[in-house]
Amino acid sequence: MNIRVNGRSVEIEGEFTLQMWLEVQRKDKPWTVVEYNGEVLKREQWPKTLLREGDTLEVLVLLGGG
Amino acid sequence: MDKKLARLNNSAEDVLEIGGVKLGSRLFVGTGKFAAQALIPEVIKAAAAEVVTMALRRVDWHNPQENILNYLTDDLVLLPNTSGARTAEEAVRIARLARSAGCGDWVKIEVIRDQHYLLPDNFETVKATEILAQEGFTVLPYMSPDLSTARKLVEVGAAAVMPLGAPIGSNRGLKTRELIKILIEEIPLPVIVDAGIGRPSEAAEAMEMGAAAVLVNTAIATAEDPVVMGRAFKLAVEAGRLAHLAGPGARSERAQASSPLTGFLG
Repeated sequence: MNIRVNGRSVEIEGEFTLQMWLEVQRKDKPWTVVEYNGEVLKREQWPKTLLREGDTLEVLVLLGGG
Repeated sequence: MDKKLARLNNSAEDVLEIGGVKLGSRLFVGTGKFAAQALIPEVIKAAAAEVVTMALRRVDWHNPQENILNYLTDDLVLLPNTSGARTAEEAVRIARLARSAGCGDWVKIEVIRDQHYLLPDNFETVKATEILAQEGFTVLPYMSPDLSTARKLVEVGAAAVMPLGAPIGSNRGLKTRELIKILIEEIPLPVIVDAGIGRPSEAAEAMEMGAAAVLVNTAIATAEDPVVMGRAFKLAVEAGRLAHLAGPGARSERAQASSPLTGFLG
């Protein structure tokens, strides 16, 4: 299935929760922030969120800025 | 030293209160553009800053990144900006995400469509401010210095207004000084000059004019020695603030002798 991550299409094979997929991608940092289908998704929701065809993720980090 | 000045010179007595938080420092520091992030804690210390800004961005999938919060101590007030937002809706999204990233309730609204001068969209800024103030955020909107916009920002619940001195990152100084003076005179909120300040002398001038604080990033981050420049800005902001409180004397076109004009030698 395909999901959109940070504006690009990503192919996923098999069933993944958001938590598992971020772990595989090594993006499950303590500071990672996720917007899932337009809504802020708290960390405790990640293991309960099964990725589905067409989901849209924004995976974000705080960086230096003015 | 005069007792009043001694008192004013003690930051514990001259506090800036925003959103219920009492600040002793009137120099806000941005964390962008530093050659090395490891410099940031030293700069913040040298600047004695209590409020620092940061940005939220997409994770770079291919390169390691470090959260800016790793370089910031717990006692700082975090002021995430909404840079990258082109509409009020996007600014609101970014603000909510920044809060969930552990930034607390403060947010600097930044809504920009113009890519040449990075000038803010005041209309969208008012809309975003209204929504976020209702959600309990302490909202500090970055704005073009315009009186009617500033009045609307007061109405919709901004905690301060942040007019630009010159385009972001330009180091050109207080090009909008006359308009900022009007805001300082008319707006019953802290006026924090954001963007454009390139030299400590310009920060001092903004403070002498009565600005409540200044936000400086590029001028410090791109200095040859950012830590020393951080200290220079700290001293300039304090000097400007004291000068404002002391009440500068009147200006005149012609000379006004400083020494007595009688009793000259014959």
